Amino acid sequence: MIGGRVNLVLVALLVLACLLALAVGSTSLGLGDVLTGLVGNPESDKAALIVREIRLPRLVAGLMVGASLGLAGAALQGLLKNPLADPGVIGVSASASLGAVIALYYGLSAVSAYAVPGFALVGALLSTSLLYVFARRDPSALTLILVGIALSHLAGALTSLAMNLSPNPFSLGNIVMWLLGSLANRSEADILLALPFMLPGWVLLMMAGPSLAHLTLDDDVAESAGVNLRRVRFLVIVGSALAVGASVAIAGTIGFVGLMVPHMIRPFVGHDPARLLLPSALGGALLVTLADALLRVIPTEQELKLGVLTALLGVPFFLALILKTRRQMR
Amino acid sequence: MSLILEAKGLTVSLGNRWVVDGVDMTVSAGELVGLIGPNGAGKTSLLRALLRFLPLTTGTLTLMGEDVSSLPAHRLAGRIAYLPQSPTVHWPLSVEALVALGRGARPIFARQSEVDREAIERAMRLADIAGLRDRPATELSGGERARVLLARALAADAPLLLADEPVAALDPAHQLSVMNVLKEVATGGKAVVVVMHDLSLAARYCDRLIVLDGGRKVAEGTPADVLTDTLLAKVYGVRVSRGEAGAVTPVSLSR
Repeated sequence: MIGGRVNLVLVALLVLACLLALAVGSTSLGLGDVLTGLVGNPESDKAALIVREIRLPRLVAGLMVGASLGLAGAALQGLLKNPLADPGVIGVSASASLGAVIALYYGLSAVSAYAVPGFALVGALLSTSLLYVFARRDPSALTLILVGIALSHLAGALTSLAMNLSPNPFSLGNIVMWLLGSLANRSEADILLALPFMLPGWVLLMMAGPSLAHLTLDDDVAESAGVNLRRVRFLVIVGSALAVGASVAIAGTIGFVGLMVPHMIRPFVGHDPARLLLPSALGGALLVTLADALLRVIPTEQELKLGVLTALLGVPFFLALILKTRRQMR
Repeated sequence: MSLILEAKGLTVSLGNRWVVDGVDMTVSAGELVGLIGPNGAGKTSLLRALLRFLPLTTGTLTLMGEDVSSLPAHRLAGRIAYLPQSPTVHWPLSVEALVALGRGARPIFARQSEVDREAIERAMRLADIAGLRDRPATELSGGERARVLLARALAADAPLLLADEPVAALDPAHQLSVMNVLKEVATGGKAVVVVMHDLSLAARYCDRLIVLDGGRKVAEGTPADVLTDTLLAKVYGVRVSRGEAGAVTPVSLSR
């Protein structure tokens, strides 16, 4: 029951955040302009052009990225029984970034708009396959985390190597800007590229829900209750790889959302890892949408990058939250 | 009494060591069977083999007439409830939500059925934890926690309950209350196998004892038949004194 109400509240907040995100930017629009812009003709109506062609794709991309990160974060924390887990911990984020960086390094973004996101997806899927190979013998939470961290560091090192050997300042600049994470200038094409990976990822992650509740207790207890551990690991890891890989592909690395959102939601769903999933997706979408709207109204010479803002806002908030919850759990 | 579990020649090896070596055992409905023996005797390994956590090297295991190795996981979960030795509770779920986990994995978006609700309420009543319902399961005392975890296992309403040292680390009052519940469950028609170290409680509550030593079954029978001075000296290396209600208290080392 509580879970249902949380979802309703989050949906209501999300609708408001969406309207806000469509209204703010270099040209401010009133609510009326936003609503008429949504249905107007972009060729004749300036508001419709801004809303439909520029802000709507960016908004939708943000919703998808935020939902993916929140959902994957919640599922991974449940699978690994670890409140510190996030999509970075299994190495997906860093590997997807590496894929994108390789595409930028070789200047492939000039050849095809699909090169960077495509390479990012390949990076995410390759690293997940490696995770599976290395953790095959002992797929415990600890092994998954350790192998994931190793893969993450490897991808980080190779990314640094690409920057180190970067052929020219232009490509280095491209790589650095991309790594900061942003939703600026996202188009319908980006959304259509990510969706076929995100959707099945979301489905896999949601399917893990009922089993994740059992992982509140140790693996063997969950298994004795009929949970198929191999299946739930597959659902969460492959689901995260698809959803987060596609997120990184279209937005770069957006830190802290996957870690923070499940913690914000948890007290409202009775800490149940199963009931946490949907609200975490909604919460992730809400957070990314609000952060992306906020960075457009902060007057800076260069537009702030989303990944920079989520980390800047996220860390103090997260520290406060941790101190509070640790006190409660003691 | 109908036969619930039948194991023949169970052998389990870990690495190159036989941890369970040719054990035969049966458990019937309405029975409380104690599995005793010194540390490292193979009690927990036997329990884990019954749950299919450890693969059998040889032997057959039949549960209510069906070969355990061919039972799908959810059917096995419906027939064996497992109360592990001090498991970790990783998230502060409410006591009621934790007990509800005993009902097994539900399909996605499925709601609790009336049968589920009744089983959960019955289990909480039996374990006397209805008053703790809304408390976070991570904020309980040792005794409360033991009863909550017991209720989770009872909520499964399975014909066989396997409990691994459910009274270790409990004060005497909580030991008695947990054993009373297990006895009540057995009297109610379930089969209960309990691993334990307290010989007095074993003598007082169990209908039958199976004694393991070095992975082998070395004795089986009623507590009075099994807990002889000779056997206790041989298996545990202790001399005992005997008191009221079958109490068996180790008093000195015999070797």
